[in-house]
Amino acid sequence: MIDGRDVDTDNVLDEGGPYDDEDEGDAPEESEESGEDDAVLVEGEADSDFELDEYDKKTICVVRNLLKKEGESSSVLSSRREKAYRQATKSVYLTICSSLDLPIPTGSEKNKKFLHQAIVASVRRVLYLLIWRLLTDSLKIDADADQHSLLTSFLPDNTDLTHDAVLGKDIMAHVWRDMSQCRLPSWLSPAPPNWGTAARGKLSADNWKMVGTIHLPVTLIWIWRNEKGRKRELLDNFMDLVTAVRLSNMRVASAEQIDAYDHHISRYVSALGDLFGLKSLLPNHHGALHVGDNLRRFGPSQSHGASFYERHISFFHRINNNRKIGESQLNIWYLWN
Amino acid sequence: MALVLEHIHFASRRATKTMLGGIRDILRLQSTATAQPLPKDPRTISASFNLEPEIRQYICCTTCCAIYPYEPGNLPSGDEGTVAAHCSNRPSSKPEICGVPLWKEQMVTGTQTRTVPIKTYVHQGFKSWLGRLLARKGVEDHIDNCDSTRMSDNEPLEDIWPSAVFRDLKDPSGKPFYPGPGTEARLVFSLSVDSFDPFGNKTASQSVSSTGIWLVLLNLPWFLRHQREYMYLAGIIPGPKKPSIDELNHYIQLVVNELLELWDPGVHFSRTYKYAIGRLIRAMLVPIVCDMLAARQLIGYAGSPKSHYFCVYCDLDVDDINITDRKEWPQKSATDVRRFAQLWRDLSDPVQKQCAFEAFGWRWSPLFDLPYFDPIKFTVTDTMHALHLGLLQTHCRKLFRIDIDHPGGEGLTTELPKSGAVQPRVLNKRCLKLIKVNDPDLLYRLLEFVRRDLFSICDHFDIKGQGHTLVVGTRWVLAKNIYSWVSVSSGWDYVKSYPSSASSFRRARFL
Repeated sequence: MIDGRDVDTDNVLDEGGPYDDEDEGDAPEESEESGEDDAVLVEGEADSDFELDEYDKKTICVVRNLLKKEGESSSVLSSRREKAYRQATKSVYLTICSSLDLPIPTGSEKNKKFLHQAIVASVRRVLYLLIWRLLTDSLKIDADADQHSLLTSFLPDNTDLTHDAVLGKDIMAHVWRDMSQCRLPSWLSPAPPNWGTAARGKLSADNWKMVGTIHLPVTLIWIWRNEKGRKRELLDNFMDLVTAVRLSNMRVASAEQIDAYDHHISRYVSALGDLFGLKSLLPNHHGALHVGDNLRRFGPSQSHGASFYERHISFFHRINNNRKIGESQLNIWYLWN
Repeated sequence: MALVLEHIHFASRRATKTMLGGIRDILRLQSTATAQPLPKDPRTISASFNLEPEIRQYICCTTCCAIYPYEPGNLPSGDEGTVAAHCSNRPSSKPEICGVPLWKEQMVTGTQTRTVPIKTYVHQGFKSWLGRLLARKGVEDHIDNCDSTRMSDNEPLEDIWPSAVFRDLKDPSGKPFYPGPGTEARLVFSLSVDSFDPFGNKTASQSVSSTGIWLVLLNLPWFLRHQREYMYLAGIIPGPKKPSIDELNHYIQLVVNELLELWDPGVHFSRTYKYAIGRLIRAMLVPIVCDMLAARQLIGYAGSPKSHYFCVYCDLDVDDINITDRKEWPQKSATDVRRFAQLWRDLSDPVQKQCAFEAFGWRWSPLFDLPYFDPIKFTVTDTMHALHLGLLQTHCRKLFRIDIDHPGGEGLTTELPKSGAVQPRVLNKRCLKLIKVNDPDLLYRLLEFVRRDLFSICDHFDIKGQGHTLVVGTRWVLAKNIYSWVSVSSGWDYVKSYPSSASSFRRARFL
């Protein structure tokens, strides 16, 4: 890591333009945090021989304060972010947004506070995506092992990410609570109340259908209703899948419905690479893209569904075969017809 | 009474026999006259009511699953000379004949033994099943009244009958298959094959599995067609292992043989419920409704969805799996597929067979015997398996991930994804030389190379299929593109020199 040669943070702070006055004065006291840190991520800019103008310097400074440092506690981080918020102007935030490919909000949401939240929410993800793009050939950087590990070490909170499952403790508790309060029509059987735990074990296809099309949307839409960053993208992406599954399970198949299915499933599958860094799609993802054609060819799925034979298999299970194979074949015929 | 006990309450034959004997004794105490006509054996009455399904038995080889017709009482050749003592089948993966004994000695009493088949397979006669079905009241009304009319293409489909495939079905004379002329009945079936554990799902590890073969009569309305009494169960292939790859063919062949007769010339049933003078029945097998693995095995396609040949519908290679633009997917052609399958069947040497399989991804399936069969159109992705288990489960468990010990995050991983795209490598010199020489057998000789070599060549010379902007496709597609590129650039007529016979492939492989 490279230190020193930073732009003088305090200097920039002093010379910074007029602060945006849109927010009410809930700014805390200035935390006396100096800028003598190893700001790895802006090293490119700081190292270069270009003359940075004041605006650029300020931007860098804001970015640096937004990012989390290694081994930093969350309270220090939040105070630094507040500092960044005070330093920044709306135009600085807009610059950051556009350079990070973030969607720029419109209308009333285009204020400084909102932009700040959007950037903070996406900082980790953007960084993450940036680095893996560097490592994969989309940016054609031929990293050797050392460079690779160096770049990997820049990823924020390495340890934290291994426990970055979306359906964590709190979310699952939410889901289970909502499930217990949810009344379903009598023809639907809910998923087991403790699904997702090791104790419950595997779920059937029908269970997954219930989880995916009812229980998860009910909870996730509610708890993520105000999210703007990555979680919003996760939700939108997931809802594409849910919509597609529901469309494919309808009792009738019309042309518009199949087109809608194709639209949602394509959008869902295409987004997976960026959103989850999936290195290659699974055969099932590709297969799902063909389901629309099948619906066009054969009509609604219940007319050619295959779930019926599971029922008949349970019929065979009830036949006592004395644990011998191939000897009690004849009996099946007497019972079948 | 014996009949009721045996067929409704499923009392064992021995129990009914005891009961009959008991009644006889009681009657004999009363008077001797009434007891005499009572039969001793319940089988007599069962036979006279003709209740049992018509079945044929086969002995199956324990190793290669080949089957041999067998009548109870037959003995290995020598005595009656009807059934071989050893398996004479030549499995496609081995050069020699299987030769596994089909019979075993069974102890009857202390010293006496008798010879019994090791494993038998029971097949239900399709025609007799159909005959009985047609004798039921009301069945023919359903069969003759399938509504395949559709006002417009935008009208929502409610069943399989008005769908595009069903309306395009043609009978052997080229006329629409349904409805048939005059009193002729036209039936459409779907085929399902699935494996299950005959000992129930009590243990999680599926060590034993049997495989069932069903046909569903789609003419019946949807609430009837999946009822047990309206479905045709061809047979249960006994375990303990699933018939692997093309071993399933032996059993499917039995079904196909009967379907072939029902296709052309059709079968005349001498009497049905509605037609006392009988009627002609023709039938087709259209959709293959199975989970993906079984379907692939059934139609003779490469078994694993993770192999290079991963998609049944399009000719995309697994290396191209990230391409989501439908316009870039090369189409499979049913005639080509049939040709590949025939090629595989006609080769006799197991090594060559394997080469042909690796080059095209197809093996022979008895379903190709049905002249109308289209493996690409007729295979249905089962939405239950593909979407519910495949996508929703993957999404929740692999992408969202469930972690009940830590608070929820944003689903980022530290495992950095690698690019899935294949990187072109140094061009294969042997392959280049081959293209330079431009032998008439070039197309088939190109198939000897692994996909990556062909990909590199296509990538280097910028050879793409017509209408494509990317280099995509299986080995066959790439080789075909190179071949046509070479022929066009050297002024050859691509179509004329298109070699199509098995002999050409054989020569190409061992020149």
